Amino acid sequence: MNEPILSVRDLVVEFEVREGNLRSVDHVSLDIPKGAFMGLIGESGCGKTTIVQAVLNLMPENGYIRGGEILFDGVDILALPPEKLRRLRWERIALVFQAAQNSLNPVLKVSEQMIDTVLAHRKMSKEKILERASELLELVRLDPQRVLDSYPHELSGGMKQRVIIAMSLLLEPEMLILDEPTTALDMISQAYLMDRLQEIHRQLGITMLMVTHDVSNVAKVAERVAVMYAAKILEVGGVEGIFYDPYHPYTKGLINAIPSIVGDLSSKRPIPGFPPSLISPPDGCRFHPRCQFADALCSQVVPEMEEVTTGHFVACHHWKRAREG
Amino acid sequence: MDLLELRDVYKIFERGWIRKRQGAQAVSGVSLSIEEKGILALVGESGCGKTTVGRISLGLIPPTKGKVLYRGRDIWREDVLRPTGQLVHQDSYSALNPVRTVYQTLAAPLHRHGTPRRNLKHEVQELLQFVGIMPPEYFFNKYPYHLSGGMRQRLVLARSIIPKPKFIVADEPVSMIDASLRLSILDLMLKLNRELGVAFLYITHDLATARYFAREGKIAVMYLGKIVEAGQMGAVLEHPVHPYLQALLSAAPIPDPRLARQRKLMALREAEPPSAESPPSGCRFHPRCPYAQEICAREEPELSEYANGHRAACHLMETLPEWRLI
Repeated sequence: MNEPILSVRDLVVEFEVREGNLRSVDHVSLDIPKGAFMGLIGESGCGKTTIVQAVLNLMPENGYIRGGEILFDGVDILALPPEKLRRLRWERIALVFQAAQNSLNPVLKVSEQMIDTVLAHRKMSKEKILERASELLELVRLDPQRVLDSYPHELSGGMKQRVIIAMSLLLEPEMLILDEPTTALDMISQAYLMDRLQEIHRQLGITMLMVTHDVSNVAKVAERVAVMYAAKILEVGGVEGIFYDPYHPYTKGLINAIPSIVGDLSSKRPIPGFPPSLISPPDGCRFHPRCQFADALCSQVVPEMEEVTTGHFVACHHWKRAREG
Repeated sequence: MDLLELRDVYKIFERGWIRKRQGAQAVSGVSLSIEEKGILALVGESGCGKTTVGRISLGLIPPTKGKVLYRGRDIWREDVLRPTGQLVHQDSYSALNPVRTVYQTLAAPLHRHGTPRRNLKHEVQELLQFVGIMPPEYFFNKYPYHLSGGMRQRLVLARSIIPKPKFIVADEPVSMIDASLRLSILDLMLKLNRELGVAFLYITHDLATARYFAREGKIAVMYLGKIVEAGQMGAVLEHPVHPYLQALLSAAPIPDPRLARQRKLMALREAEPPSAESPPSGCRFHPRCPYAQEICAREEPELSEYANGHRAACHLMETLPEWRLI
């Protein structure tokens, strides 16, 4: 495995809400190896989008980074002065938001938006920019002639999403972060987008982080997978390890709760219980109230991340038993 | 006799307030039926008209053309349907009155449907228990915003069975529910089907949950206002005939890294669907279909028998290459 290009160390993020302090990311550490395609999966409200916001220091008004470091290529992003941070965003790390279709400017043609994007960061001739934009649009299988000359409303949701992805690659960033890239897309457009992302990763060798609740999409494209639950990362490993040989009872349960178009249905089952509130999360392991292996230890002591096989980490007191049963 | 039957139903929405113009043809000649205690999964992508079919099935909107029959009787001639059908939709939050507690949400309709006041508490308790909201007393005084999405959808289902419906139209009931809990809501719906004999029209874009929920029932696949394939779930998924369904299956997510990577996405001629307002001539799928021939642009294919009870609307169904997922 390569050296990490992005390293999240002991990150703590809180939101101030009416009911109190909501700790959305609780002492999370995560390494993303250079050139990897990493998937971060978790259910809604588990804090996965908050990690993305923290990585680019884009916290909303009521969100506070309470501790930890985010090292990109050895530099702590959280300590960067504003102008340096602005340059880093999009030039070195590009982020495609959830429902990014809607982040295009409705009154500008795609070509103008491509040009603006580049000029905000560096000097380049318009011809050069459009040439580069055309190459990237072809990479996401769009017809550059037609698309560059279109307004966003003339494109479908799937096409807009691919335009944004082409735009995110304009400045040749070293890393691309995608937050729920398939939200609001039709199934065929989704599959198409996943196909393109895989191809971009193959051709450009760019580091990718895809954050999603969609376990199946991660199975298709990611090389490494991190599993998040109630503000904590519980397991990180290679995609086959996570799907075929998971150690954490939550990972196991989650994968077993996803229906498929093939295979046996009778073994599929939901995880009992409900995810906890992050305002008053359970003590010890966050998953223990729903876990069949839980005992007194689990309700008192927070399990530490352990490396159980090379590159496969899990935070569970009973991973040995959980893996077998 | 079928419980519910749609016979060659059309729905054309008008546009404009002052001068009415013809707008989108949301449903174009759909026929389908649901047996007593049966399950039908209606699968299609956004804008294909599946929600409109659901609303027509419940008698919420009249069809522009065609008939809706409940146990053989036309629901637009005789008022036979109203108390027997219920709707459960995607957003459980907006389906519940935010200023009513869980208890009030269930007690009011129970009382209206004949439960005497002194039995209300007991009946609400039993109902909550039945749908897995436990312990019931703990939830009596909670408001919808106190509940998680899964709990709210359980509450909606509890309320929907109070009038003892014969069928429920469930329109994307699990698409806003957390992945780990989706199956528990589908399981609850299966329980209503098995224990109370409620028939279901399950409307979704998600083939995987459709397969799970309607494994012993039927499936109908819709594309741009038309049903392109229908039959028993098992048989249809084993031998999908229509290239559109084949494309959907080639795109449907599989939570298995090796299978997901081996499978090839069907190369469509157009990745994006055309506008529903001006559907293509002939077979509506022909501009995207990799197998399309000249006849496909010219003539509209009929839904016809492919195998016993398995129907598809494709001119080329006899000559298409054999289907394989991987």
